[in-house]
Amino acid sequence: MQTHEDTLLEVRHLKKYFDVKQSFFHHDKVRAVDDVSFSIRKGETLGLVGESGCGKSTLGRCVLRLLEPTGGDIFFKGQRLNEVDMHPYRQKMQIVFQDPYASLDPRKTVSDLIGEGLDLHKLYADRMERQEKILSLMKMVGLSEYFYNRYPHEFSGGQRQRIGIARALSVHPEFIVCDEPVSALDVSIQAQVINMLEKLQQDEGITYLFIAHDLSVVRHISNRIAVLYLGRLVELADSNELYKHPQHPYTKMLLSAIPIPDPDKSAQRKRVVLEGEIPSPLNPPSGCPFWTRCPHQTKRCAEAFPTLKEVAPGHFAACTQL
Amino acid sequence: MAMFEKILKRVLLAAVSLFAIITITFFLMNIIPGDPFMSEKATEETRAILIAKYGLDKPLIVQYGRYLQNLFHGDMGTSYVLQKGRAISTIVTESFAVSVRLGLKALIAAILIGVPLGCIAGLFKGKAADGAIRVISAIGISIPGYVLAAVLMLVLAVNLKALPVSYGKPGGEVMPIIVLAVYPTCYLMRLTRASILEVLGQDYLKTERARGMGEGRVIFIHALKNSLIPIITYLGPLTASILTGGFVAESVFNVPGLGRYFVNAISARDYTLIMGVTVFYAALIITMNLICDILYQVVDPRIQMA
Amino acid sequence: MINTGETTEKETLLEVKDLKLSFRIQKKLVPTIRDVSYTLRRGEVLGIVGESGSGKSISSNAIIRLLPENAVIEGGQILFDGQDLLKLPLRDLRKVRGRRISEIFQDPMTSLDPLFTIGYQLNEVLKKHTSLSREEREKRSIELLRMVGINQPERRIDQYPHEFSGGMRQRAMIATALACDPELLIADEPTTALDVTIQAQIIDLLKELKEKFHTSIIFITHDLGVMADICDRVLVMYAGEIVESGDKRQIFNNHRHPYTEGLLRSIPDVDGDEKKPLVPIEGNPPEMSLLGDECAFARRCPYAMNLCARKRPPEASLGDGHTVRCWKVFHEEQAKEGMRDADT
Repeated sequence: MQTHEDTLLEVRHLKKYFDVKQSFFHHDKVRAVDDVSFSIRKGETLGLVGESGCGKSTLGRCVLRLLEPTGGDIFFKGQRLNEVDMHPYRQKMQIVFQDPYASLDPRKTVSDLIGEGLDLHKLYADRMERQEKILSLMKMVGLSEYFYNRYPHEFSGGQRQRIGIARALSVHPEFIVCDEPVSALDVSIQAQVINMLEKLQQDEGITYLFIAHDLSVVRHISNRIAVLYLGRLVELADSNELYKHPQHPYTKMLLSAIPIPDPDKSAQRKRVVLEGEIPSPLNPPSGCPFWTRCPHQTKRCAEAFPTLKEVAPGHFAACTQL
Repeated sequence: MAMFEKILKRVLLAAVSLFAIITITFFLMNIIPGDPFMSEKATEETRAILIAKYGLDKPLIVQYGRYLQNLFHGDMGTSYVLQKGRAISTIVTESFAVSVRLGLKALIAAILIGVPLGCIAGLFKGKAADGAIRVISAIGISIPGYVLAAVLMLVLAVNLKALPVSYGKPGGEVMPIIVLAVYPTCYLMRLTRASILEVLGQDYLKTERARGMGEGRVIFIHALKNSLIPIITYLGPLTASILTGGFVAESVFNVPGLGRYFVNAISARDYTLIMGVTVFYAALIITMNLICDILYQVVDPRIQMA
Repeated sequence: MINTGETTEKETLLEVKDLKLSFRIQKKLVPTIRDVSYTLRRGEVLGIVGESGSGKSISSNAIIRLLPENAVIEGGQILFDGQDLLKLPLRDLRKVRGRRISEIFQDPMTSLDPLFTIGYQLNEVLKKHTSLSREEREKRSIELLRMVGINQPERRIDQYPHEFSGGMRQRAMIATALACDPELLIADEPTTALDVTIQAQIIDLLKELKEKFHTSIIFITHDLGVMADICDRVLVMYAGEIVESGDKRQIFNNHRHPYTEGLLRSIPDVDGDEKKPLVPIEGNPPEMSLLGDECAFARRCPYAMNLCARKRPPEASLGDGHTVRCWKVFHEEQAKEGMRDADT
């Protein structure tokens, strides 16, 4: 993968290991993210999918250095982010969390919550300007100005997620990590938020790293998709390409497990049912982490993690069979 | 075995904490102005002799070293002031036996009254019984021990003459036990109530009901066992605090227990006794917590001792 | 009674009639289930779909009266095999729960008592509802675990829930629910808390078990994809009422209610070549306590007319078991009928 001119964020060989105390004399490492590399182009949405425990949320936090990576490099607009003061970058890089209930301070009003970022980065000249900015942000995410002095508990899930997004937008970020932003919402509300995120991208040119476990949502919103399994990047491709021609056996199974809301298509489809469950990240299989569940396993799979190969232009997969 | 290793680790940690407590107490104690012999009706000369005799003229660090050395050999020294010449170990064991006799009775009373009443309050949330129990526990928790002791003494002993004023006479144990038991009883009520209420909202009780289990089984087998977990965790520190926390009750009612000795030892600057009681208390609390952790693990299969 | 094979196939197992249920909130009764009626046949999988607060869980938990304390059943009948469960004393209802009607829940992590082994919990159910001996119960427990796809059941039977992964716990949960061969299984969002691949496994398991034991299933979910996969018939619930019901092809391919349409247009297409824009339903679900005699969906409905804000639409039957509660559809059907009348 070479760096393009329009690359906004690049991650090389990123690792995040957590120490887990097994006993007094024995520590284990959980390789939550292991040797992951990718880049995101300006204005695009990179989807990050995988099942629980695959390290997708950890990866999202490492990219912003909300968690300190154990190894590897992060570049934002060509600047290496490791070991620098993140304060100036916090304004450019934001995060929206999954749980709109837990991530908002219940004692602050909507205007305080949205204004926090403005205050922190001193983005206004006087109180009038602050208020104007907050109101325009509220309008942008579809919150009536009538809510200006309300508290988070007075809002529904979808509205709270809008507040969360307005907070992230307040500092004019160029890049937002969306960590399961619609997973806690009902479908009709989910669609409202997704459309809003897409509109913001068109209008403001924001780049997203969109983390989710709902594969149909990820496909809808992403230009490209990265698939993680036990901390490893196993496949990366344009979203249509990935869904039409998945290469990695794990991706194939993941896709075939998506329920299709159409009885005829659902009945026609042959499902590759994935046997077993994700092994414990504490004790991952050697070599390719997927081989224990893989229908095409060979001896070679257990030996070493296969490198990512470019199987088609822009389509990478890591499997010994390719 | 992992379990053995974990216990060993906890014992090692306990030894480290004990050592830290000894060290801190030793130096803090010496910061207090005065010395054990300031109240002796003696000349400066005899005081100097006494001080030299017990080695208190040596640099602190030397005294400290010697104390540790003796302690390591099981020798806690003798009392300087209160019971001059008697071995600290004897004083501590004798007076602790008194405290234990009172404390265990208070503890049992607290558990037998507090846990069932807490259950009742939780199960009948919002009803009259719950209201009454909540008011009682609020009062019991907020009333200071010495106030309670004074009120009891005034009403039961002085006015009604129902009970003797001082410890040692028949019935003399009753008031100290009440003073010791009120706070833990009320605290247990509150804790049990909160715990029951939390468990009653848990999904697995709904599962049990969906399986056709009767309310008796749902409440007494499933809800109760789950709600006992926080109570068991609290019992360790509670036992330790009842056994060690008798300062007020023992002083007011003149019980010759360890708590009273502790208070008196501090005011008399009886260095070896202060150290002796502290070491003993610390060891006791640490042991109680350890036992509790092990017990906790037996009840709750999810807990792995850390 | 003599049943021919055909009638057993279509025999009604459960009939819910005009169920009305409210919640007592600060001394006021807030209607939560409004005139819900449906039937479930033996061996059928009935899906109930709706968003949070639509009453989908409450309406099915009401069948075995597994309700919060402040729930008040205000009317209706729940006929299970001809017997009104609402009139059944709790004592007798407990003999139905877990034996003839079982339920599995959304979160396998919190739905099994953490302090008792899986074996204990299976034994508990068997002991309550069967006359099997202790040895027979143990044998049956192992058999049940094997049936739901748990490996080494002899060993796992002595393990606690926390020693099982999420998927395995849900399997264990299903094993306890099926222990007494129930005629009806209520599955309350059984896969919502699971990963997609595990979800697929659990759905396949439920389908397989249904084929094997001919159990009727009420499957509650908010995931239309899951619904299309497992259900025969679907109820769409909104604000405590059934707004549309029918077999799954009617619901997915021939839906008439604007809410059903809105739901289906809100979800991204996984399969198509072209990216279709999502059409969300604007606004939020209504506050149940403020709902009067109007169509509950009127304020979010793109087709709302004056009438919709004034009067609650009746349930219109479109034939073949397809019902819709919507004024627009009601008028369209009337117009059709009128034309038919004019023809004759």
